[in-house]
Amino acid sequence: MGRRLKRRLNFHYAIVTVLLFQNLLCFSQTTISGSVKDDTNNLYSVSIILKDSLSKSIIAYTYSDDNGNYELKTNKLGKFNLVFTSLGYESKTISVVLTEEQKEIKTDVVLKDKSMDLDEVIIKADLPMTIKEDTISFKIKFYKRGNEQTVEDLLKTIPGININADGTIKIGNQEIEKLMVDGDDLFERGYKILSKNMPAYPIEEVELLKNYSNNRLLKGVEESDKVALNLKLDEKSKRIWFGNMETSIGNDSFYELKGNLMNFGKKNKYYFLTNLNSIGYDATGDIENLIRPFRMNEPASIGDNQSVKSLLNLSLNNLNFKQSRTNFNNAELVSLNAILNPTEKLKIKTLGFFNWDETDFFRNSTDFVDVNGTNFTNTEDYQLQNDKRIAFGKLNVIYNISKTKMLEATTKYNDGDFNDTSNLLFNGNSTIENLQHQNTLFDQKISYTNKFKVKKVFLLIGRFIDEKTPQSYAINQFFYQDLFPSFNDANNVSQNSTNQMRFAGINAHLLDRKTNGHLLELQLGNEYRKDKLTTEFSLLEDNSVLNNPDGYQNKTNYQVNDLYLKSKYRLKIKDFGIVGKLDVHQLFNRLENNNASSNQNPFFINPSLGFDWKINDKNKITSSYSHNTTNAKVLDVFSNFVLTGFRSFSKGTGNFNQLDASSVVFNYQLGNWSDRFFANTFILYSKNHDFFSTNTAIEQNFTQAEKILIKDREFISVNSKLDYYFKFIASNLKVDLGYTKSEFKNIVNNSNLRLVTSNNYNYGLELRSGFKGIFNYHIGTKWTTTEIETTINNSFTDNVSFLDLSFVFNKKFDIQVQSERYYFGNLQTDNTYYFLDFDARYKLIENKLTLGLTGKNLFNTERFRSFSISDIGSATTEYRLLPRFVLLKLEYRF
Amino acid sequence: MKYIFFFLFPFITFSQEKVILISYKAVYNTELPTTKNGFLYVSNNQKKTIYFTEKISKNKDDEDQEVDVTVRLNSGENQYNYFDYEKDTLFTKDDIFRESKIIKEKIPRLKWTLLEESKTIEDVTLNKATCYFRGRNYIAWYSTSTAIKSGPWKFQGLPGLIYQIYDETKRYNWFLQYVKVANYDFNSENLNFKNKETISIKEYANLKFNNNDELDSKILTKLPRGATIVNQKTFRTGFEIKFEWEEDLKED
Repeated sequence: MGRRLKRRLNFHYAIVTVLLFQNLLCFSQTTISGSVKDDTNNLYSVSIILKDSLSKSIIAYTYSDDNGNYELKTNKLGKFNLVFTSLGYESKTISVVLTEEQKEIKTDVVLKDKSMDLDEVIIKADLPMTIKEDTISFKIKFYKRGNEQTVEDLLKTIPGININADGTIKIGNQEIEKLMVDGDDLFERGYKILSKNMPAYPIEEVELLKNYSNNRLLKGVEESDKVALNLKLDEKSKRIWFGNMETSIGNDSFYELKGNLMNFGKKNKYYFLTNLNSIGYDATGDIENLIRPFRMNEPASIGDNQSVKSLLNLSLNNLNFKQSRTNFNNAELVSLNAILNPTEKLKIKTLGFFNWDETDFFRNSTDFVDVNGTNFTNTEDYQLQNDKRIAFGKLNVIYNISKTKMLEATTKYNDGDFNDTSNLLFNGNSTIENLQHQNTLFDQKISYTNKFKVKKVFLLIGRFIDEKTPQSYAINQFFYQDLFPSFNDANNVSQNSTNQMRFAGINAHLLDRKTNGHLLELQLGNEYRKDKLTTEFSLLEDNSVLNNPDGYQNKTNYQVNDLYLKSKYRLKIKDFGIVGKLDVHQLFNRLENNNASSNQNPFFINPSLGFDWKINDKNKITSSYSHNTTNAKVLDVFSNFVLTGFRSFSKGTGNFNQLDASSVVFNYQLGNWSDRFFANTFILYSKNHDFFSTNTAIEQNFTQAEKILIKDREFISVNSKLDYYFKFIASNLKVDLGYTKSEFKNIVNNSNLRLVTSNNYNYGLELRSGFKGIFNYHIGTKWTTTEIETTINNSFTDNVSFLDLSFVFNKKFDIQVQSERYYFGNLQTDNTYYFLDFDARYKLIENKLTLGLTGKNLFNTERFRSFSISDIGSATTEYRLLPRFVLLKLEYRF
Repeated sequence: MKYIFFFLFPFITFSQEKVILISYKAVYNTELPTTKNGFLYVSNNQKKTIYFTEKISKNKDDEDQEVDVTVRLNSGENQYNYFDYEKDTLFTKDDIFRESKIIKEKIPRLKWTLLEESKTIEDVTLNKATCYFRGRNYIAWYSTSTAIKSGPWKFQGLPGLIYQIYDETKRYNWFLQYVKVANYDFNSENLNFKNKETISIKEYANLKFNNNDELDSKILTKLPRGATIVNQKTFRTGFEIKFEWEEDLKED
């Protein structure tokens, strides 16, 4: 075998003895073997490839071994080429003919030296992904499989992007800030409407933007860990229309109709949305993030918290369970949005919506009042109907002056018209309340950004807001005989009020990112706010006004001018970071109450200091201290009573006030969220050196509360959450422990200043499975104990439990079942409530047509009673609930 | 002392042999996508190869600079795959939970399926081949005109130089950048593993995944009420997500 045959240039076949019995063992397998060498040595790692002589396809291949020997096996027959290649040698091709008779072919070759010519072999690869600083671009052609229908499907093919079942898009563990199309954003956080509906085909590239800033010039200067996605449209793609439609029809005329329609071109983009429903769903929630984008700590925010608070409100107070269960509605919403890019430098965004809603709400309550020797019971049988009509428009213009300069203007206009009527049975007296109110808002903001150095940005922001909320309130009963004993003929009352606010502010903001990474922020600004509050309270006999009683009319003008300098510095040394803030305010207050005016010019400093320390991978501490002085608001300073409900009057202090408060926050984290064991403890302590409380006179038919300034109150809250994952049941146990103690002081019915302490304890347990199969569960229970101590002690414990089951049969079909149990410790009867909802979905045609079945309140619980306590007594409240309904859903995407 | 120095000096310089340097651009579309330069040094007789990756700095300036591997290896930061075909061993340096380990295993026999499909890049005809390796399906495009059997990472054994290789989901991708002659010392003390602590591939898999196997369900179970994940993924990440012995278990 090891015998040498002829050297070099042997193109002929070497025929070796045919072994008969080998032929029997392996039918037509041919072995080609031999050795490879150069002039002197055996050659290792020479590639030997057997190719079809015609198609050039590779039949078999091998590499020569240490001794220069090789062996190839094949069961093919015909004409072939045997190609020998090795680095530094000329390659050699030998043709072989494999026949059935030949079972072994031996070919020894000698390769000729050839100098290595490897330098400058450079391949320009068309990379599917490129990284340029914080932008990662993915070329879609490398990723798509061709069957992607929607943008969501497309994004799923890009490996770093995770999409939850509900459509939430995440990069790693972090949700994206927005999903843009060619740099234009129509949806902010509501991007799912886009990702679930836009077809995939016009998209050429997906950009992942790290450390994203909403203001492009602040990129790399401000502190940001946001991520965003940008879809780049194909140059060719014309204007495309797409959208979806969802209709649901149920028993008792419950229905929902949703529609989204979009048209995206290179230059202009349009988006239309509509929602009509009677199932208690608040559709404005879908566009809330377009109306008021939620941006924390964003530079160039001035006047964001400036608004008018209404005196009177007939809408329901918050409940401790799903609000949609009590919301008998009939809502209609239409929204139109557009982005226009008339030139390279100019971008215009418009948003408008109209919302009509008619809601009904039913409540029965019993209030027990027992305070300072006064005790009585009030019963209310309350039916409320709210009618609202809202029109909203927003225009946003961005002008990019140059690469480093930008001008942005935003104009908002809101017009709301509300008509609320309640039908009330108060201690057996039939009463009708009517509240008509409007809201008119005009808001103009202009900001100029200049990135005058690589890491330094200067912003100048101006804003003007004008908001008005006139209210006209009437009660067809006169419950205040004891207050106005001389008006025996009065049989109804009314109150007309206007509350108007005008805000003008200017702010200069400098952000300076030091070379060592520290960030210095300085702001100099002036904010001016003028409030006008007029209220007119009338006692009437039928339609004629008997009197406008003294002490119940207000004419308040309140002006606050705040000149401030704010500074902030963030310092980071290894795993230790410190943030120091110092805000200096010079206020100029002017108050006119019923034609008497006064001035005050307070000066104060608000310091704050915080640190975060990552001790090691498992332990993290953050803590901060701050001292805050806040100036009294208009609803704190008016001097006479106003009606704030059918049996409540309240009034402000009539004076200027500044309130001082200090607070300390401490947070300790043990482990990481993804660890088996994870614990987090949060402690908040705050002390109000001054605070507003009330001096209240309580009668059965009315209360009169007067704001008073009290010194010192404390609040402490401790919350601990623990997570432990049990491997053997593949489930996570969550323990939630909380304690809150708060205290305040007030005066009720001429008592001394009394201390009211409330203690809240809550403890909850949850167990959630992470099975791989079709079934999963999530079970939990939570107890809440509330304790109020005044002269008397009052306490109760409630319990809420839930059990959710999930069945995911396959990609097309899943069912979610949710059940809840409420238990109210202090109710003698009817203290336990059960709810059962379910949701089933079946995808008839993937991404095109989905069928769904939704059931709500399957036990058909009609009423829901809850119990609450306060410093003056306790109350039992009963709500009427939306009856059982089942909806058949059809979702179609086009 | 002097004599010893004189004796050593020529030896050290001599040991830097001329080798083939093949550079790949590694593109990882992971949760935080990155691209890295990969350098594959192949000894002249192809009996020893080493592949290591280096992170690209953000400002892309030093992309093509020649890297002193010896220094990199000493620093202990890098991950590399060192093949010794004579001893049929593969040493892989990898970080497991921020701890550097050297994994010793037999050179894996990759079962390449050669396909008829071909394409041309810059006048070079590339053939397609596929291979299943430790939990992922890879697609490679190689050229038979350059007889190099080694590739990036643990890939080797194709009948020619790999120009492109990626897994079917395109999470991990390698693209050939250039081939040239460079210096490298395969006799360096850094590549002598005799006195170094090594672990087996099974130990590696245990370290990396066993504590971690429930991570996905763990995360899932910590979500608040109402949050659901309908499609669950395997949360094992990295190149190797399933090992030979696990395949056997499944077949049983």
